[in-house]
Amino acid sequence: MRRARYRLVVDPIACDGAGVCAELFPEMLSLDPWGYPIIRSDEVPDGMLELARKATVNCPRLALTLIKIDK
Amino acid sequence: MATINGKNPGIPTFIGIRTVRDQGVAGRPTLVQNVETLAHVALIARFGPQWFRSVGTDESAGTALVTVTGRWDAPRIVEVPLGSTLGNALGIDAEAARSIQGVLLGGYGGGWLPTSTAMSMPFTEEAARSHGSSIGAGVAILLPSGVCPIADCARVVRYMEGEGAGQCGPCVNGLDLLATSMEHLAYRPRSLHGGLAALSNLCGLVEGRGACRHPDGVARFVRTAIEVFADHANLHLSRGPCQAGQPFLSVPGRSAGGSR
Repeated sequence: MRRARYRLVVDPIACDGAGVCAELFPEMLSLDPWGYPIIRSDEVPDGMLELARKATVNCPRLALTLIKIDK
Repeated sequence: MATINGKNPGIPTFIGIRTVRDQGVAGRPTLVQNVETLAHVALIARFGPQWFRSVGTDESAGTALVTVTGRWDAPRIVEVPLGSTLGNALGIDAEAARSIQGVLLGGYGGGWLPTSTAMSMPFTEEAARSHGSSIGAGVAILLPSGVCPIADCARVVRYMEGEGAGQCGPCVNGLDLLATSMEHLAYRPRSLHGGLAALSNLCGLVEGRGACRHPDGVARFVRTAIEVFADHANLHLSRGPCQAGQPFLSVPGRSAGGSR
């Protein structure tokens, strides 16, 4: 059986550009010129799920979500 | 949708990976149709699918209603068989096309097309998308010669920036900078650092980053404008702004020559 795959989704209304996520998970998140996160790839790379989870729970606005990719 | 759900004012909400098909009015799966589709459905019910399919292509059957500005003294609504050409429907030949600088298809969230492309491509959503535009709202604006396309587009981008709901950071910041950059290109080209490439990069910074598609529409408008009017834009960059003349594209609350 294949391991579950995940992606990160940011709620752009809730996000106020605190930038915590990019600090915790720079492998996948960078900041635009105004401090809002840019998600670099469609899928959380293998072995980085824990980092992604850490970024989501530490978002002060809870604007970052880890979502399981179907199939 | 937000208004129907009792939210005031009706501004976009973030529903993540779901769509209104999964979760819309009162959290229930919701079907959204536009009036034109329902009118088609009524005619299909009356005359049958064979009749409906006698016009159009396999992928895009039937006709589309298009609001046309810039062809006649006042805007008109024209029924265009899908798959036929806009040039045919509007009676625009190569000679008439020469006095049109470009065609905006799909309204202010749509995209600019070179006049020759707009007039000769098969009129379908697929063809429009393959050229970076969209039939979208069914609006076609023929921009006449004699107006500055860059100054006109800058006005529209500033208007669209003001129409945002103001909820998402990339849209709030990005559209304001896009509007300012277009204004620079129109009136103070030396202030546009990075030239047209910078504008294009800026579009990339707002695309897909709002809760709704408003920023994507504005980005498409700008991307296609600097592509279709690249020669004009480059003249601004090399020689400075042109004598803009009267604006053509109408923006609510401001006067324009859109219906002359």
